[in-house]
Formats: sequence, C-alpha cells, structure tokens
Amino acid sequence: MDIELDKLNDEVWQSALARIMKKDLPVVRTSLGDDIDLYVPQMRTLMMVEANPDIARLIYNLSRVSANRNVFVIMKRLGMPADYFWKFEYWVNDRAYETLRKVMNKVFTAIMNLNKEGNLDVQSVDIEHMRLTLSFKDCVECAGVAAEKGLCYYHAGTFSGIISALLNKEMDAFEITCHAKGDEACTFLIGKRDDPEITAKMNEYLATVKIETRIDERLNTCLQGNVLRGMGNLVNVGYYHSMIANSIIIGQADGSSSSFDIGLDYGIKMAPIIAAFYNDNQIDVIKKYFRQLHHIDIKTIEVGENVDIVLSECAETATMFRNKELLHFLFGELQGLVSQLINRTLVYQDSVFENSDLKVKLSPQV
Amino acid sequence: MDRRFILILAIIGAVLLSVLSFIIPKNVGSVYVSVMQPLALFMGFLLAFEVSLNYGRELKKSFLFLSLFLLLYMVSNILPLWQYFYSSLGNTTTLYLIQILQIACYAMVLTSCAYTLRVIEVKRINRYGWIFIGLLALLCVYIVIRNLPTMNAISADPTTQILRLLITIFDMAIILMLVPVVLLYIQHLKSKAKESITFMLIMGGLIFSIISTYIFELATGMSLDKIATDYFQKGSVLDAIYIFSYCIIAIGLYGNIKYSEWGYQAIVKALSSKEN
Repeated sequence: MDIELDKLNDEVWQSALARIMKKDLPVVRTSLGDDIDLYVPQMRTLMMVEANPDIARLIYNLSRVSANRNVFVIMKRLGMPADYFWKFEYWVNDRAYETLRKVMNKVFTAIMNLNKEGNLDVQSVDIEHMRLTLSFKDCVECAGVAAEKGLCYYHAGTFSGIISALLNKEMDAFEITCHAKGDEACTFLIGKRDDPEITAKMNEYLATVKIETRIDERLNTCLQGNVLRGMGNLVNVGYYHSMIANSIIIGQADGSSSSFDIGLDYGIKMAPIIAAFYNDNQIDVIKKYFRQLHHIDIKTIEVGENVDIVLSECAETATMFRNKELLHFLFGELQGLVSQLINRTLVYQDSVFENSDLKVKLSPQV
Repeated sequence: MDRRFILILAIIGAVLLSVLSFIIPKNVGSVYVSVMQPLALFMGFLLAFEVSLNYGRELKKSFLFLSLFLLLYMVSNILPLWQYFYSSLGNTTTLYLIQILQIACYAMVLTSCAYTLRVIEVKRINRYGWIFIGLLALLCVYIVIRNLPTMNAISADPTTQILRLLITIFDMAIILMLVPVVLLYIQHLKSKAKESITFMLIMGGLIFSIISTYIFELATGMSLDKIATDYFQKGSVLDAIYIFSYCIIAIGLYGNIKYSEWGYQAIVKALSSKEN
C-alpha cells in the first residue's frame, strides 16, 4: 500500500511538473473541472488531526519524504545540475538568497501557484546558522480556519523536503507564523536537522496537541461561498490526492481512529448543517452539497432497503490511480450523511468501479 | 547553450591551445608558450579571485590563496622578467628572489589545499578511494626518494638542494591533499547529489600540472634540472601539458562562476520547451 501511495504522490508531482512545462494535459474531470473547494482537503485534515493528534507528524514525514524524492526527479528532468547548490553553506548570503529564490520561484512557486496551493516565496536566508524562511500567502491548508497553533503540516513537510533535496542536506521545517493564528501569512523556518534548536522547535510544532477547530462554522462559510483568499477557494485536485496519500490511516492497531471512522463522524455531524443550508432534508441534498464543493458528481441515489449511490468524477479517484483505500473517509462520510438524512442506520457494504463511475452500496445494519 | 557542451567545448579549446605549442616551429613555439603560460595563469588568478567572492569561510580562503598562488606562479613563469633581473641584479640576488617566490608560491598553494581539505568531506571516501590514496602515497614517497640529493650535492650547494627537496615534498603533499576532491567526484558521479564538476576541474588541473613533471621525469629518466633547462618554455610536450592544465584550472573557475546562470538557463529552457 505504501508503494502505491508513493506512486500516487509521484503522479501528482509529475503532473504538476508537466503543467508548468506547459504540456497540454487532458482535463481529468470534464464536468466538475480539475479543481476542488479547498474546504474538502482542509476538512479532511482537520478532522484527522482532531481525532488523532499524532497525525501531524505522520503528515509531515510523509509529505517531506515524497517531496524530497520527487524534487530529485524534477531537477533531473529540468536539466538542473545535481551539484547546483554544492557547498551551499559556504555561499555568501546574498548569492545564496538570490539563487535559491530564483530557482524556487521558477519551479516550486510556479507549481504551488498552478495548483492554487498558495504563494510561496523565499523570505530570507541565513547562511551562518543555515536557516531559511519561506513565506506562504493564501495557504490552502489553513485559509478560513482559526486555530491556536500552526497547522500547515503538509506544507511544512513539503518545503523541508524540497529544500533538503535541493541543498542535499537533511533539513526540517516548522511554522513560525500561521494564517490560522491570525498572522497575515504562513511562514516556515527551515533549519538543519542536527541543529538542536530546530529539533526542539520541530518537536514542539509536531507535538501531540489536540487542535479543536469549529468545523461546523467552517462548513457554513464554505457553503455560503465567502472568498477566503486572493487565489479563490478552489485548489487543484492533485493537492487533495497528496493530502490523502500523506494522511491515510487504515488500521486501528495503535488506538487511532481510522479514516473511515473519522469520515463517519464527520458525516453524522454535518448532515443537519447541510440540510439546513439548502433548506432541504431530502437525500438528494447530498448531490447539491458534493457538486458545490466540486467534489463528486453524484449521478443517482436509489433508496430502497439498500441505498445505491453512483458517483462520477470523484475527486479521490480522478486519476489513473484507483485505490479504494483512498476512499475510506468518503465511504464513512457517505454512510454518516445518508443515515442521518433518511433517518436509518446504514452501513457501508461494498463499492465497485464501473468505467469512470463508482457504485457504492449502503445496507441496513444487521 | 548547455553547460556540458560549453565545458566540453572549452576543454577541446584547451587541448588545441596546448597542442599548438609543439606543432608550430620551435622558435615560434617557445615565444607562444612564454606568452600562453603566464596568460593562462593570470586568467586563473582573476577568475579564482572572483570565485572567492562567491563563497565564505574556508572555501573563500581556499580560492583566495589559490588566486594568490596563481598570481605568484604567473610572475615566476615570465622568463623575460627573470632574464632582466639576472642582467640588472646579478645571479645571486635573482636566485634569492626566485627562491623567495617559490616559497611564497608553495605557502599559498599549501594553505589553499589545507582549506580545501577542511571543506571536502574526506570521511565519505570509500575503501577503493583509500586504497588508491595509499598507492599514490607510495608513488609519492618513491618520487621523493628518487629526488633525494647526494651528500656531495648538499655540501656543494646546501640551500638549493634542500629547497629542491622541499619543493618535491611539497608537490607530493599537494597531490595527496587534492586527490580526494577528484576521488569524491568520481565516487559520487552516479549519486543523487553530485560533487562539483567545476571544483573537480580546478583541483584536477592543479594536480595534473604538478604531477606531469614527475611523470615526465619517470618516463624519460631525465633529471628535473635537465627537464627545467631543456623543456621549460621551449615549445615542448611538457609545455603543452602545462598550458592544458592551466587552461583546465581557468575553465573550472570560469565554470564555477557561471554555473548558477547555466543551471538556471537549463531550467528556463526545459520549462519553455514542450518537447521535454
């Protein structure tokens, strides 16, 4: 499974690279488009972090490893010499800042902009202490969220992975400002992994802390369509894929909640809010909900003893890569939403891919 | 233009410039060499100084001392200047000047090598690298022993003989100190993050310029004195090798200055090309 998730991550990075190389890639989702409301990946991560505080470290580590691996591939494909940043720690500060900024802007800021993840920029480089700060405005991970501590773990991991690969040094990153805390932009400090101060602050940043966010309020803001950032509320579906691949929890061996359980909890809690917003408590309301979020085009919902739902252009599987493990959260969410809306306890039974569609069956609880 | 293409082109240019020294008539060849050698060293001095401005700490010092070495070495390679000193200052004073200059040259290059050793990660050299260094060290010891002056020679001219011995020892020390740079480059050719090609060229050029005299000595069986009298700036193969190695140093330094720009241009080109 890890290898398959790695493949998914690699596919996301390569498709982002292809897009900045201006290759004409076909639109994956003809009806909904290749963007998704940033609420979808955000809600998913927030729910995961709330349920399993340890997940921050998991997201950080997985996204770091994936970025690191892919940056080497990107450098090679762009013809960038592998010794480009040779002995970076000996460079004069101005040269280090200007060169790194130029490369980051040309490649990684371009990728982040195309994906609508945020506006990345190198803010400063301190060669003497081997520390770098990156600013990230319009951060997709925390736009519209209020929290007491920084929570952009995916981007912290991604940026440390990028810088580690470019400089060929083991680097770590943590947030020193976060939009979620009320700061203007997210800022990441990146330093050497063997720097005790960096390690201490990293551990503090990824520490097991229960982050509580008002997800109900956040959903309302999303449904009302309030614009949360300069880039708009949509983000490329590739980012969502990376988020899923880097935060998936399948088993419960360590006592943590699985992606399915968290999705189920989410569906149960959000069903009344969705029904109230659309002023409609019929089952079809979920069609409107998923379509508004550019998440899924629900073709049909047949309610009998069982409930059969046909999903089309599902954001989770809108690639060549199809794996049901990625859908556990969604299956839980559907089970929770449908059970609430039709006032019957249903359980997820089965799902099957049919051409581009996905058929999901919910059955009464035995 | 692709950076590899530029470097290959420059190396071909260096080969042509050096080969020219012994394919043209001897009388023209000696003039050509007496201009080309100091010129290549002067270019190296300017470029090494510029490279030193791009770095800090040990690497800055390494290039700074390298640039000073190239400058002093360039002065020692201007034969008309020394002929003028011989005629105006006399043999003894000029010889003292030459010896002072030689000592200064070695002080600069050895300091540069010491800083280089502090920058490169010698610990990363693999077993085969250490075996190679061990064998090279044996060769160096052999070269030193081969050039040991006789007691008669020492008693006749102790200063010159001891200085010559020291120079041989210093030359061998420089080779042993710089070979790790080349070894590390070869060792990491296939790794994700390679060692610097330009740094390898600079140090490789320096090693080549030093070792070629001794290889020539071993191959021909001639003494270093005879080589200096009959082959230095006479339009010889050895002159060609010197020009080639000085040019390689200059190419490495130029490449080091331009490397960021070339790398960035490669990115821009790749991003704007749909074929990639």
